[in-house]
Amino acid sequence: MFTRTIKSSLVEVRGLVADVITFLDRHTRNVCLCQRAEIVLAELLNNIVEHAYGNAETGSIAFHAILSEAGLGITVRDTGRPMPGNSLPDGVRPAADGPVSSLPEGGFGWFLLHSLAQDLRYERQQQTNVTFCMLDISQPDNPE
Amino acid sequence: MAITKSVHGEILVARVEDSRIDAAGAVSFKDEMVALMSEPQKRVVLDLQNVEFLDSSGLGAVVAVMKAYGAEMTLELAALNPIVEKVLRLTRMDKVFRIHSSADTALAA
Repeated sequence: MFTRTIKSSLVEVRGLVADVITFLDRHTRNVCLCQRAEIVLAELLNNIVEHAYGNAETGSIAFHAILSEAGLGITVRDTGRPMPGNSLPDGVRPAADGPVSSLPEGGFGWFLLHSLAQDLRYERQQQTNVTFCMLDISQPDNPE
Repeated sequence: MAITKSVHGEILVARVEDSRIDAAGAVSFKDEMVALMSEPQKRVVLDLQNVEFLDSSGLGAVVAVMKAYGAEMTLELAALNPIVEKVLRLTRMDKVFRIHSSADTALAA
Protein backbone atom coordinates (compact mmCIF):
# COMPACT_ATOMS: atom_id res chain seq x y z
CA MET A 1 0.00 0.00 0.00
CA PHE A 2 1.19 3.50 -0.78
CA THR A 3 -0.49 6.59 0.68
CA ARG A 4 0.58 10.20 0.52
CA THR A 5 -0.96 13.67 0.44
CA ILE A 6 0.78 16.35 -1.61
CA LYS A 7 0.24 20.01 -2.40
CA SER A 8 -1.33 20.68 -5.78
CA SER A 9 1.85 21.53 -7.66
CA LEU A 10 3.39 20.07 -10.81
CA VAL A 11 6.73 19.72 -9.04
CA GLU A 12 5.18 17.80 -6.13
CA VAL A 13 3.40 15.57 -8.66
CA ARG A 14 6.81 14.75 -10.18
CA GLY A 15 8.14 13.68 -6.82
CA LEU A 16 5.10 11.58 -5.97
CA VAL A 17 5.09 9.84 -9.36
CA ALA A 18 8.80 9.02 -9.02
CA ASP A 19 8.26 7.51 -5.57
CA VAL A 20 5.24 5.44 -6.65
CA ILE A 21 7.21 4.07 -9.61
CA THR A 22 10.13 3.16 -7.31
CA PHE A 23 7.66 1.39 -5.00
CA LEU A 24 6.01 -0.41 -7.92
CA ASP A 25 9.30 -1.46 -9.48
CA ARG A 26 10.59 -2.81 -6.20
CA HIS A 27 7.48 -4.92 -5.65
CA THR A 28 6.70 -6.12 -9.17
CA ARG A 29 9.80 -5.79 -11.40
CA ASN A 30 7.21 -5.33 -14.16
CA VAL A 31 8.67 -2.78 -16.56
CA CYS A 32 5.55 -2.48 -18.72
CA LEU A 33 3.33 -1.90 -15.69
CA CYS A 34 5.74 0.75 -14.38
CA GLN A 35 5.76 2.55 -17.73
CA ARG A 36 1.97 2.55 -17.94
CA ALA A 37 1.70 3.65 -14.32
CA GLU A 38 4.08 6.56 -14.82
CA ILE A 39 2.03 7.94 -17.70
CA VAL A 40 -1.33 7.36 -15.99
CA LEU A 41 -0.26 8.88 -12.68
CA ALA A 42 1.27 11.94 -14.30
CA GLU A 43 -1.82 12.57 -16.44
CA LEU A 44 -4.27 12.01 -13.59
CA LEU A 45 -2.42 14.18 -11.07
CA ASN A 46 -1.37 16.97 -13.44
CA ASN A 47 -4.97 17.26 -14.56
CA ILE A 48 -6.00 17.92 -10.96
CA VAL A 49 -3.27 20.55 -10.49
CA GLU A 50 -4.08 22.32 -13.75
CA HIS A 51 -7.84 22.01 -13.95
CA ALA A 52 -9.44 21.09 -10.61
CA TYR A 53 -7.24 23.63 -8.81
CA GLY A 54 -6.51 25.87 -11.81
CA ASN A 55 -2.76 25.88 -11.02
CA ALA A 56 -3.40 27.49 -7.63
CA GLU A 57 -0.90 25.67 -5.43
CA THR A 58 -3.09 25.93 -2.36
CA GLY A 59 -5.04 22.70 -2.74
CA SER A 60 -4.05 19.25 -1.68
CA ILE A 61 -4.23 15.89 -3.41
CA ALA A 62 -4.63 12.68 -1.44
CA PHE A 63 -3.15 9.69 -3.24
CA HIS A 64 -3.75 6.10 -2.32
CA ALA A 65 -2.61 2.97 -4.17
CA ILE A 66 -3.01 -0.72 -3.41
CA LEU A 67 -0.89 -3.31 -5.14
CA SER A 68 -2.48 -6.73 -5.48
CA GLU A 69 -2.00 -9.77 -7.68
CA ALA A 70 -4.43 -8.17 -10.15
CA GLY A 71 -2.50 -4.94 -10.43
CA LEU A 72 -2.38 -1.46 -9.00
CA GLY A 73 -5.60 0.15 -7.75
CA ILE A 74 -5.36 3.92 -7.55
CA THR A 75 -7.65 6.34 -5.71
CA VAL A 76 -7.08 10.09 -5.85
CA ARG A 77 -9.05 12.70 -3.90
CA ASP A 78 -9.02 16.46 -4.28
CA THR A 79 -11.26 19.32 -3.24
CA GLY A 80 -10.91 21.40 -6.39
CA ARG A 81 -13.55 22.19 -8.97
CA PRO A 82 -15.70 19.26 -10.12
CA MET A 83 -15.23 17.73 -13.55
CA PRO A 84 -17.37 19.51 -16.13
CA GLY A 85 -20.80 17.87 -16.06
CA ASN A 86 -19.66 15.82 -13.05
CA SER A 87 -18.32 13.18 -15.39
CA LEU A 88 -15.00 12.10 -16.89
CA PRO A 89 -14.00 13.59 -20.23
CA ASP A 90 -14.12 10.98 -22.97
CA GLY A 91 -11.00 9.44 -24.38
CA VAL A 92 -11.24 10.16 -28.07
CA ARG A 93 -7.85 10.22 -29.77
CA PRO A 94 -7.18 13.71 -31.18
CA ALA A 95 -6.95 13.56 -34.98
CA ALA A 96 -3.33 13.13 -36.07
CA ASP A 97 -3.86 13.63 -39.78
CA GLY A 98 -4.31 16.72 -41.89
CA PRO A 99 -1.89 19.62 -42.32
CA VAL A 100 0.68 20.40 -39.63
CA SER A 101 -1.05 23.71 -38.85
CA SER A 102 -4.18 21.84 -37.72
CA LEU A 103 -2.46 19.25 -35.52
CA PRO A 104 -3.76 19.07 -31.95
CA GLU A 105 -1.59 20.43 -29.13
CA GLY A 106 -3.83 19.10 -26.40
CA GLY A 107 -6.46 16.53 -25.63
CA PHE A 108 -3.92 13.72 -25.42
CA GLY A 109 -4.17 13.33 -21.67
CA TRP A 110 -7.62 11.79 -21.36
CA PHE A 111 -7.01 9.67 -24.43
CA LEU A 112 -3.86 8.23 -22.80
CA LEU A 113 -5.72 7.67 -19.51
CA HIS A 114 -8.59 5.82 -21.17
CA SER A 115 -6.10 3.81 -23.27
CA LEU A 116 -3.77 2.77 -20.48
CA ALA A 117 -5.96 2.53 -17.36
CA GLN A 118 -8.73 0.08 -16.65
CA ASP A 119 -11.97 0.78 -14.80
CA LEU A 120 -11.47 4.54 -14.83
CA ARG A 121 -14.22 6.13 -12.69
CA TYR A 122 -15.04 9.49 -11.18
CA GLU A 123 -17.43 10.61 -8.44
CA ARG A 124 -18.16 13.93 -6.82
CA GLN A 125 -18.69 13.23 -3.12
CA GLN A 126 -19.85 16.40 -1.32
CA GLN A 127 -16.97 18.83 -1.99
CA THR A 128 -14.50 16.13 -3.00
CA ASN A 129 -13.50 14.73 -6.38
CA VAL A 130 -12.76 11.02 -6.19
CA THR A 131 -11.06 9.44 -9.18
CA PHE A 132 -10.35 5.75 -9.30
CA CYS A 133 -8.58 3.53 -11.77
CA MET A 134 -6.93 0.16 -12.04
CA LEU A 135 -3.77 -0.82 -13.84
CA ASP A 136 -4.16 -4.51 -14.60
CA ILE A 137 -0.92 -6.41 -14.29
CA SER A 138 -1.88 -8.66 -17.20
CA GLN A 139 -2.88 -5.89 -19.59
CA PRO A 140 -0.93 -6.21 -22.84
CA ASP A 141 1.52 -3.43 -23.51
CA ASN A 142 -0.01 -2.35 -26.79
CA PRO A 143 -3.76 -1.75 -26.40
CA GLU A 144 -4.43 -0.75 -30.01
CA MET B 1 14.95 23.35 -19.59
CA ALA B 2 18.55 22.58 -20.57
CA ILE B 3 18.95 22.05 -24.32
CA THR B 4 22.39 21.67 -25.90
CA LYS B 5 22.70 22.87 -29.47
CA SER B 6 25.21 21.64 -32.01
CA VAL B 7 25.50 22.59 -35.66
CA HIS B 8 26.32 20.00 -38.31
CA GLY B 9 26.31 21.82 -41.63
CA GLU B 10 22.68 22.43 -42.51
CA ILE B 11 21.38 20.54 -39.49
CA LEU B 12 20.91 21.80 -35.95
CA VAL B 13 20.84 19.07 -33.32
CA ALA B 14 19.03 20.07 -30.11
CA ARG B 15 19.72 17.61 -27.31
CA VAL B 16 17.43 17.79 -24.29
CA GLU B 17 19.55 17.34 -21.16
CA ASP B 18 16.61 16.90 -18.77
CA SER B 19 15.17 13.43 -18.21
CA ARG B 20 11.55 14.56 -18.49
CA ILE B 21 9.44 16.75 -20.77
CA ASP B 22 6.34 16.90 -18.61
CA ALA B 23 3.72 19.40 -17.50
CA ALA B 24 6.21 21.16 -15.21
CA GLY B 25 8.73 21.66 -18.02
CA ALA B 26 6.64 21.87 -21.19
CA VAL B 27 6.45 25.68 -21.46
CA SER B 28 10.18 26.14 -20.92
CA PHE B 29 10.91 23.41 -23.47
CA LYS B 30 8.67 25.04 -26.06
CA ASP B 31 10.18 28.50 -25.52
CA GLU B 32 13.74 27.16 -25.88
CA MET B 33 12.88 25.26 -29.04
CA VAL B 34 10.93 28.09 -30.69
CA ALA B 35 13.91 30.40 -30.01
CA LEU B 36 15.94 28.22 -32.42
CA MET B 37 14.02 29.87 -35.27
CA SER B 38 16.62 32.65 -35.14
CA GLU B 39 19.30 30.12 -36.21
CA PRO B 40 20.16 29.83 -39.90
CA GLN B 41 19.67 26.05 -40.14
CA LYS B 42 16.39 24.86 -41.62
CA ARG B 43 16.43 21.34 -40.23
CA VAL B 44 16.25 20.68 -36.50
CA VAL B 45 16.81 17.23 -35.01
CA LEU B 46 15.47 16.94 -31.48
CA ASP B 47 17.74 14.43 -29.74
CA LEU B 48 15.70 12.76 -27.00
CA GLN B 49 18.28 10.20 -25.83
CA ASN B 50 18.25 11.61 -22.27
CA VAL B 51 14.47 11.94 -22.06
CA GLU B 52 12.96 9.02 -20.14
CA PHE B 53 9.48 10.49 -19.82
CA LEU B 54 7.08 12.47 -21.99
CA ASP B 55 3.50 13.20 -20.93
CA SER B 56 0.58 14.75 -22.82
CA SER B 57 1.75 18.29 -22.00
CA GLY B 58 5.24 17.49 -23.26
CA LEU B 59 3.81 15.95 -26.41
CA GLY B 60 1.61 19.01 -26.92
CA ALA B 61 4.72 21.18 -26.62
CA VAL B 62 6.62 19.12 -29.22
CA VAL B 63 3.69 19.48 -31.62
CA ALA B 64 3.46 23.20 -30.86
CA VAL B 65 7.15 23.62 -31.77
CA MET B 66 6.61 21.92 -35.11
CA LYS B 67 3.60 24.15 -35.78
CA ALA B 68 5.61 27.26 -34.85
CA TYR B 69 8.34 26.23 -37.30
CA GLY B 70 5.70 26.00 -40.03
CA ALA B 71 7.21 26.03 -43.49
CA GLU B 72 10.43 27.71 -42.31
CA MET B 73 12.04 24.83 -40.42
CA THR B 74 11.50 21.10 -40.09
CA LEU B 75 11.49 19.27 -36.77
CA GLU B 76 12.62 15.65 -36.61
CA LEU B 77 12.92 13.40 -33.57
CA ALA B 78 15.76 11.08 -32.64
CA ALA B 79 16.57 8.42 -30.00
CA LEU B 80 13.18 7.69 -28.46
CA ASN B 81 13.20 5.89 -25.10
CA PRO B 82 10.37 3.39 -24.37
CA ILE B 83 7.83 5.73 -22.70
CA VAL B 84 8.42 8.47 -25.27
CA GLU B 85 7.96 5.93 -28.06
CA LYS B 86 4.81 4.57 -26.41
CA VAL B 87 3.17 7.99 -26.01
CA LEU B 88 3.94 8.90 -29.63
CA ARG B 89 2.68 5.55 -30.92
CA LEU B 90 -0.57 5.54 -28.91
CA THR B 91 -1.44 9.07 -30.02
CA ARG B 92 -0.38 8.27 -33.62
CA MET B 93 2.01 11.21 -33.51
CA ASP B 94 4.71 8.75 -34.58
CA LYS B 95 3.21 9.14 -38.07
CA VAL B 96 3.51 12.92 -37.97
CA PHE B 97 7.23 13.21 -37.20
CA ARG B 98 10.24 11.87 -39.05
CA ILE B 99 11.86 9.67 -36.41
CA HIS B 100 15.48 8.52 -36.34
CA SER B 101 17.03 5.84 -34.14
CA SER B 102 19.74 8.27 -33.06
CA ALA B 103 21.01 11.78 -33.78
CA ASP B 104 23.94 10.26 -35.70
CA THR B 105 21.50 8.36 -37.91
CA ALA B 106 19.60 11.59 -38.53
CA LEU B 107 22.81 13.33 -39.62
CA ALA B 108 23.53 10.57 -42.12
CA ALA B 109 19.96 10.61 -43.48
